[in-house]
Amino acid sequence: MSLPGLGLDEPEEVHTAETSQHDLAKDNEWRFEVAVGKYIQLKLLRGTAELFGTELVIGNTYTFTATKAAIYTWHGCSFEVRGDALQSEYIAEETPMSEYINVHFALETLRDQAKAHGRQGPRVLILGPDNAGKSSLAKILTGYSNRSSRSPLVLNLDVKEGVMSIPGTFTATVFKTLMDIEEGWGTAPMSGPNGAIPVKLPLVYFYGSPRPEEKEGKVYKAQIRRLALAISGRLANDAETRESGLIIDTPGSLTSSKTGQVGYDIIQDIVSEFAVSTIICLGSERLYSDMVKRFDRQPTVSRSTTAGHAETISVIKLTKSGGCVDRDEAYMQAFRAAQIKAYFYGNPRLSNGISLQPRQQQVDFSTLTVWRRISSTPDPSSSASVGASFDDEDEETFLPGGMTDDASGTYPGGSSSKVALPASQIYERVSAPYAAMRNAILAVMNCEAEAEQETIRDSSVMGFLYVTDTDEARGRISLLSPVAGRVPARAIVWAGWPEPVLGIDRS
Amino acid sequence: MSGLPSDEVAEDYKGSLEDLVTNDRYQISNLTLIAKENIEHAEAISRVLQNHINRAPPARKLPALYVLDSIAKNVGSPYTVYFGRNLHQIFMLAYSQVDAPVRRKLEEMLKTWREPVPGSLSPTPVFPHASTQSIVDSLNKFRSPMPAATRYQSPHIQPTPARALVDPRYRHTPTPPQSFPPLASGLASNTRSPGLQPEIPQPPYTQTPPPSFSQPYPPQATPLYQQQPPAPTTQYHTPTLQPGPISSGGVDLQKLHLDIDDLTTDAKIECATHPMDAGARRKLASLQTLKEILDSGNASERDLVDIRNTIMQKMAEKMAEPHQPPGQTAIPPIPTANTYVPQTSIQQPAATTSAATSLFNSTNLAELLRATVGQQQARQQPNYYAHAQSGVATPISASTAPSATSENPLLAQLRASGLLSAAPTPPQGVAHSMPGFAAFATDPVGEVSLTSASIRIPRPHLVATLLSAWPNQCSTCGRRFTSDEGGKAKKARHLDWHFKTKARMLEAEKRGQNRSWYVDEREWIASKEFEDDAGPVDATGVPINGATMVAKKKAQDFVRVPADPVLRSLPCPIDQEPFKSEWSEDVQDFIWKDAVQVGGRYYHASCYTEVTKGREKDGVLTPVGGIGRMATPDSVLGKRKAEVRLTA
Ligand SMILES: [Zn+2]
Ligand SMILES: [Zn+2]
Repeated sequence: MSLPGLGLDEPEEVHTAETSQHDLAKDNEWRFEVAVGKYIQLKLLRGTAELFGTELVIGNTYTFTATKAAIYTWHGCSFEVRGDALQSEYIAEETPMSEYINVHFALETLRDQAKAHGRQGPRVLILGPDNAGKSSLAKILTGYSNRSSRSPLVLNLDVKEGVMSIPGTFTATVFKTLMDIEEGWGTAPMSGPNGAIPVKLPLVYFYGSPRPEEKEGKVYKAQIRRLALAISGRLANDAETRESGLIIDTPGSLTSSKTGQVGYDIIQDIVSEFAVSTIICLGSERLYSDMVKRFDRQPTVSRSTTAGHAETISVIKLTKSGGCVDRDEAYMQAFRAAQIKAYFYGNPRLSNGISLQPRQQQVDFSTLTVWRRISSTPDPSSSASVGASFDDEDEETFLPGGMTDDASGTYPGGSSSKVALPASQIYERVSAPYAAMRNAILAVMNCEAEAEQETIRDSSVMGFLYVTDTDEARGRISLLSPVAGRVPARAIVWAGWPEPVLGIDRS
Repeated sequence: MSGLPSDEVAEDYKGSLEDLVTNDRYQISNLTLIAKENIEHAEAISRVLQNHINRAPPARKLPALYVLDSIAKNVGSPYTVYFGRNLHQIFMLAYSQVDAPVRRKLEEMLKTWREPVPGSLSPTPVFPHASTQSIVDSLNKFRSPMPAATRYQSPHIQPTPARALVDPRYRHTPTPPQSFPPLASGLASNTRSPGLQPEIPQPPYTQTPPPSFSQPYPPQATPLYQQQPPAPTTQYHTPTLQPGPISSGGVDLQKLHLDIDDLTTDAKIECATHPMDAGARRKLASLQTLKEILDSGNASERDLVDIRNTIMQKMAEKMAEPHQPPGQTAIPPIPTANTYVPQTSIQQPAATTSAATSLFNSTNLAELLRATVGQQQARQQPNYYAHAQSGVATPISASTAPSATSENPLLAQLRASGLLSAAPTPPQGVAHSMPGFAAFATDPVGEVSLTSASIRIPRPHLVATLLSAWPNQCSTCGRRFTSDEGGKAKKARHLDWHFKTKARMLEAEKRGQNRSWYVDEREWIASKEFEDDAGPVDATGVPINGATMVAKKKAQDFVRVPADPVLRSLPCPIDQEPFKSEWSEDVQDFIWKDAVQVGGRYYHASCYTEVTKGREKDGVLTPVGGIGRMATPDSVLGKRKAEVRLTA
């Protein structure tokens, strides 16, 4: 059995902790991996270097943990590395950087035109299987955008990885200022300042599952529509962002043949909801040809185009970076735990990092309004369910809302469901704490505690709580909250994913 | 035709409406047909449609309203009666929620509602004026002088002369008339004699500062109707819809030369008077390029026809704008969307094409081009194209396709600059193979196009330019600045920001920091990211870190938009941001949210609170809101913050 983050199951070479100097030739890339819980310090000595499009400063020390990344140089550079052993490292002489920066140049042309004509800037959709380097490309395009004084809106629809938030979320964030090299993207607002890199303001939605294709993608699509609405509101107010456009990262599973038609349906929805104008396909020829067939040279859904300028969709393929090593599930799980921990505690060991102090409290469960997502969390009335896998994808115990207006209609025919619930029901009220909730992540939604099912589903997130303990006998629950004070009187959703993290409060 | 109960029809109709995501002509036609065939359920269908329009997210409002438009024009009564009852509410609610380009489309549609039904001999308008007049009044009220523009120009907002323009019918309206013609006179201008127009078109919006330093245009700031450009002849009031490829013969080269020279002079003036306007510079460059092509003498006939056709298209669009979607005069040679186009009563059969063509040919090129200069930024043209004569169930006509044949690279540049239409006129019968963005490939700004092939070619010179454009680097964070005086000043402010942030960090460390709650949708939509050195400052002059809320909304913090156009045009004295008008169904008036009136001036409520209460801040300022800031009992955020304060 593998221990997450310790890399014991990985046969890769392991370096000892000592200072080593690296000389990187022009157009080369140093790829490295730091395990969860390990830290390295990197200092640029000479030349120029960048991490996913964002420049390193000579002489500054950068600290990395739980990272797979690459230092690239356009001109050649020397840097030194100290600290814990690396999980892996190597120098790549072949990189797709010149393709990636060309995409940036092409986008810049479109942004100039958007600015000149009061149109919307390019809306770029990045597609590809898991580990094809989609989020690296998203970072690179965002980093270069900032170097060109743009402020694009970065949309993370890849629910497996959190951007500016924990995994399981969608986020929309405008990047006007520098990205945080150490944090990957940046850090969400705190009660005080954040060192040398300004904080960014994400809008967060909680999907609560790693699989967008669940329930034929209906929940995912509904939330995307809601997000699209908020974004169109923002773009109407924010000319700079409107001209800079959108950069959209997506889950790899959308393009997987295992996901099937649902994945492509979701892509279709994304293309239309966000009026996508450019589709970038990474690492799959089949995907590229499918996307060309579907979208290339089709008119965009943009509302801001002009008659003289009929905007059409461009579908292009880019070379996948050789550095995109498959990340196994153990790594990903440890990484998720690290992201959740950083949400509550910050990461004070980073040079830009800050130690945050979440508040621990025990509350009477009856003062909270907790909704469990029916299909993905254990039914409290079923004794067998605790500790079991709640993963069965075939179990249609709920249909997402919006299909029927009244809850009266049909009942699911699922054999596993012993209590028949109305078809439209997504969440079920949890009236008492139970052991399965321990170590779970709860999302506090920006809606009334007793809101309609669809309202809860479509609401943005206010923040997350962590269940440190439950006391069934006294009906009490112990929570870790980022902010002191009473837990807000809002709907609280328990979706079951990201999975429970052990001992986040004891560190 | 159906014997179904109304409920079922309605439910069905609702379902179909929910599938309507885009401006799809076939879906809209289909929905119109269903409405026609189920006319006995008109009331139920009307209700469902109205509810749908009211509830649809902004992005879907326009298609939904097009359904209403199509039914009103193609089916008519009793639908018009049902729609008419709530027309004002439906229209204004939608109008207040959509962005400026869509608003313009709504305005265009509204105008057609006040005209006779297309193709009908009866002079009765689509909707009785009684149903539309209140909308017109509300819209006229809504239009306030463009604050962004007025800040940069001499005060031409003088209420007194403005009154002179106003149709006497509107004298009784509660809001004094604005400095530009209200809707009614905009409509009337259709029939104005061209002789009365100024020599050179200078509608108010041409004084708008170039976008490079203007604020985002508040949607309401755009004049409701573009003033009519000077029409060389009155015939242009009925432009034709088919520019079509024109036979290659008969391009008068000498005249083209003269016209280009003339235009170049104009463009030079434009550049000199608007030095920041990249669009004007590009236009000038384009004209000079065009001149080169002509001088070189190796432009093909097709190229010349191309140029002339484009100009004719642009002119025709311009002429057509007040009457109908401009796209109707220009069928772009790109595979077109099946988009719905509201019908207008002035559509002409294609038979008049040749007559119009000769008119276009006789038009002074300079006039035509001049008229197009400077308008691009000022307005957005609708995105739909006309291939519909009836608007309903007409099969889409085969659209021409871009050609793969190579063309003059200079011409390609012109296309990229927007002076020529986005794709070349194809020789008939050539297959589609031009990638969608090829038109931009040769834009002088960038040579990379979004094609897999173009992306593959390394561009070291572009990389060098990008990496060396900002040589002055901050040694703390790596942010780069230009090496000129402006860049140095910026960097000095930036370093100051680093210094102050560091001091605050030390202080914050003592108190302990925690993660804040995320913002909600409203706060996020209203927020704006600032560069570290350019954002708002807190009470002690310390810039607030990164993202900051600009418009905190509190339910009670609104004012009715002041009637006085001068007051209305003034920005908030604190942050110099203009106010944004929106229609409030509750108040039945246009309001400014987040605004207070203090001593005769209007302030953003949030700005005012910040300035007046800032001193009681405890020194730890959150980037979002801030503890103690805006902590009112009825604001969700405020309540939360208040709680934090009590328990912290
Ligand atoms: Zn700096
Ligand atoms: Zn203000």
